[in-house]
Amino acid sequence: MRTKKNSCHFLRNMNPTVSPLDQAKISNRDYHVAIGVIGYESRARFFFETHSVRASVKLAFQFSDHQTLDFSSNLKFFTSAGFVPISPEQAGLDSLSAKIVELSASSKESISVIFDVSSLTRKLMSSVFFLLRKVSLQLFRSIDLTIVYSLAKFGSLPPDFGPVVFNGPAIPELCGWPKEPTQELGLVIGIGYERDLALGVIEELEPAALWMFRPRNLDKNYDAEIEEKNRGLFDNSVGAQASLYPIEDPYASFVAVDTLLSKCHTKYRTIILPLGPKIFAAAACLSALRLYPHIGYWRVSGGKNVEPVDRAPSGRILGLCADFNPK
Amino acid sequence: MNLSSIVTFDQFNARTLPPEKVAKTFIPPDQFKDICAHSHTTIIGPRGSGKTSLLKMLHPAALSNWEGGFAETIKRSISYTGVLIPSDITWNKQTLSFVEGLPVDEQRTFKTAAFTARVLHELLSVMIYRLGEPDGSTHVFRQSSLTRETEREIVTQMAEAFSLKLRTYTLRAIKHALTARNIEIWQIAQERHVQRSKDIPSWMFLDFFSCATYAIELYDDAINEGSGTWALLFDEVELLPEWLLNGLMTAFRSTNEKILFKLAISPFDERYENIRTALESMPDQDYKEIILWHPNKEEGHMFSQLLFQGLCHQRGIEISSVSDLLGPSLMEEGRDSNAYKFGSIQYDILHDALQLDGSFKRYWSRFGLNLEKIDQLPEWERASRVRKVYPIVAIRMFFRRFPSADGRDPRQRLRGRKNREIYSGGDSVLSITEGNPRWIIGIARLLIENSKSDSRPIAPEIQAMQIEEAGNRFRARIRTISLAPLLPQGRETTLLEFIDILGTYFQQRVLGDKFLSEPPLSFEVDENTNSNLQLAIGRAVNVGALVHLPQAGRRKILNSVKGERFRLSYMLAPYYKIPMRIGYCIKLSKILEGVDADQEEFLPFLA
Repeated sequence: MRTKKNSCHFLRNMNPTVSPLDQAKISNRDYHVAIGVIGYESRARFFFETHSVRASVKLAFQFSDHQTLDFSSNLKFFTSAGFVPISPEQAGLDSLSAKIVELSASSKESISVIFDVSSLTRKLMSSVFFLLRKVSLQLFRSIDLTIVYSLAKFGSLPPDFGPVVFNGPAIPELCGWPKEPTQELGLVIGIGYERDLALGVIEELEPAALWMFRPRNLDKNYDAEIEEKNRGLFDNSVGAQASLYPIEDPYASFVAVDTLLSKCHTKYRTIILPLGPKIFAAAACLSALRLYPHIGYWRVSGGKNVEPVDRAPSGRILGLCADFNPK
Repeated sequence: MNLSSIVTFDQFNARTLPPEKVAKTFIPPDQFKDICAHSHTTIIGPRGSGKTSLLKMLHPAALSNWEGGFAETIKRSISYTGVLIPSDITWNKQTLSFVEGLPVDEQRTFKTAAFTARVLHELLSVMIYRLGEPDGSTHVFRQSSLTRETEREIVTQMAEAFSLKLRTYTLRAIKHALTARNIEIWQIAQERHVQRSKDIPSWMFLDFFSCATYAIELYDDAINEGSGTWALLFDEVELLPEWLLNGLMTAFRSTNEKILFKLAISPFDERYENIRTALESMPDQDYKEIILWHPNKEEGHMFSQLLFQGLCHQRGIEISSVSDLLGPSLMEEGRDSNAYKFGSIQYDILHDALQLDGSFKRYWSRFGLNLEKIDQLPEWERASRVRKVYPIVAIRMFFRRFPSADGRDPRQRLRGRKNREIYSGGDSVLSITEGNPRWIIGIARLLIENSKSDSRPIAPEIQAMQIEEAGNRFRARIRTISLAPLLPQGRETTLLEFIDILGTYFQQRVLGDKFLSEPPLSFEVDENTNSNLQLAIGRAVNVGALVHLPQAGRRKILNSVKGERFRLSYMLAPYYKIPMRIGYCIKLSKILEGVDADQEEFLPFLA
């Protein structure tokens, strides 16, 4: 196993290369690692249930809270499909890391990972992405990541998000460390379906510059929902300028975000806070990793108050590919 | 997508404007003269009250660009050089996160190092600014000069003291080195995460105050201002970790005559004990405490008026007063000669009230008042029995349903006015915005955008809509504030739910069956109030949802709210349908008696 002598490898520049997902190639192939999530949404298992994916190692992060709605069905599916449940906390991440290290010892090729991000938290998503980056640098080995996302069928969210229990870096490593700390704050925010949440966050952080991304959905019901839930933000002429990103084209969304972050972090102390669809959050996280450590990748959490709602799968799979290559 | 589609919030927040731009549109509040005084100062106010703007105005770049009005008089009175050390929530969280996972004492070292680097960076920036342009083409506030040789000498000494490696010996080089130091601090922290044996360089333990004092002495001696004074201007002091706050207070209490401290601070923090102790030990003449809120609404009107006029002027709209643009307030107590006469709005409202509001009629009869002869009343009686109750009557008429013999909705009698229009009008808007620059700018901008140049005043329904919009934005902000850390078990509660309890209580007293000439509209915190609730009140004060009513002779910063008095912000008055006044002060426990015991989320506040 080849490692770089400098143990502070992860401080080095390593820009993951991002590319579109080739839908034709995600099934019927062998991966080294498949990662799923055992949560309460029925779409958590949709991808692995409907696609034939072979992997040497199959792991599924199992959440300990909100074990309701479709949780039992998901648990049953994943365990019967050979997935080993792991904790979504550090212990689980350590297991994942250990498996990748183990696999790299027995193979000289890139490590291939397929990861369904449909039903996981932004904290966990960014933890996994950062871990893959770190392990790639540690092992000096390329890791090919295939990100899949099961688009949900339209269904309204509860009217009130509840209080913001946490508003800060998704993980400490992605707090964002500006080159020039006296720069003004630039906030890039993804708009979501939670009533007034984006507005509240903007009001709290008071950015000097603000960019907003809102999804352009396939289902127009979603667009109406976003409009209604963010009326306070959009009605204000200052807040009216939001860029639309096509949810059905995650790669285009990534390019838009990445281009923006690349420019604005030279002028602003920049934070991205991607409310809204997880696939956008994934694109945003990849961009933050490309510009590590300068971009802060932040999240808000509503704590235990948030009522779990099942988001059934629409049948459509979206995704992105990222190549973590330290060479 | 390109950067030209940037949406900026610079209209809202002085934080986003450099000092020289703040100065261009600066309207000094009454308190500014005291803030400029040659003394330690704490500037206390909730979010949006203008603390950052006021600190920025003490920066030489702002003072250099401030013209007109009292600018020259005030500038002549300022005998120190201001150095602003900015802060914000984001930076605070970033500095907490980057060392997460390291031992606590190490975290402290790194955070202190980042803080010291920041203070020195800002200090060097101001030193450079005071030198002006190399060709001497501009004159700056407290202009100074250095020969190349002298600059090299002091820079050499600074570099040695701060352990900075320089390639050129200029003040700019030191400043750039301090920028690079920031990245170095992050790198060392990351290395410590991986390799615990990695050394922590000795410069990480430098103390900001000692370093700043040393640099200032070198500079002042070099520019022949040995007795010069500098003011370190710290923004959002409440965001500092405790030990840094303690360090700041120690420096604050020092007898170093070269350095003043001006601290911008939110009104409440349970850690303020240390600050209060430091301040209470200082003679009054050495220290000033400036509050940026107005317990009584009229106190803020003059400043709000000027700011509003200034904003209109920027948009090419000239107004002699806010009422010129927005018309009279329907809730105005009416002091002009036509008020309460037949045909006036006050007359109409009182007339309808006497027909419909039996409880009010009993009040009116008790004092033998006659609507047709109000102008014949002695002034004291007119003020205390009529003008004082008029806003309450008006609100009841706009929002309360009264049983009517003919079955019609009595509100239709008010000539088709919509309910929230009662809060429209110049004086009302001035009261609602509480002298808070952020709110004034926010509402003014929306109103000005909606006004047509030849249409004055702006229609009440448009004003009502914008006022409602502003209130909703504020409520959205309050809704996101969790009280979760105060309630370790169970359901998280938001600050808004607590404010709703207060607002609903006051509303019920104003709109209830019984007319109250002085309804309770403020509260006093009982001595035995639950500690969770005290913290909730503190947070509400800091965000501006509650307004502290300080008692004479007491320090204005709070580490405890027990025994203190508060009212709801008038920005929330339209939502809760309450008048904008302090009203009768009631014990908080009385308000909480009405909280339904089934409201589980509030049980921890009641224990």
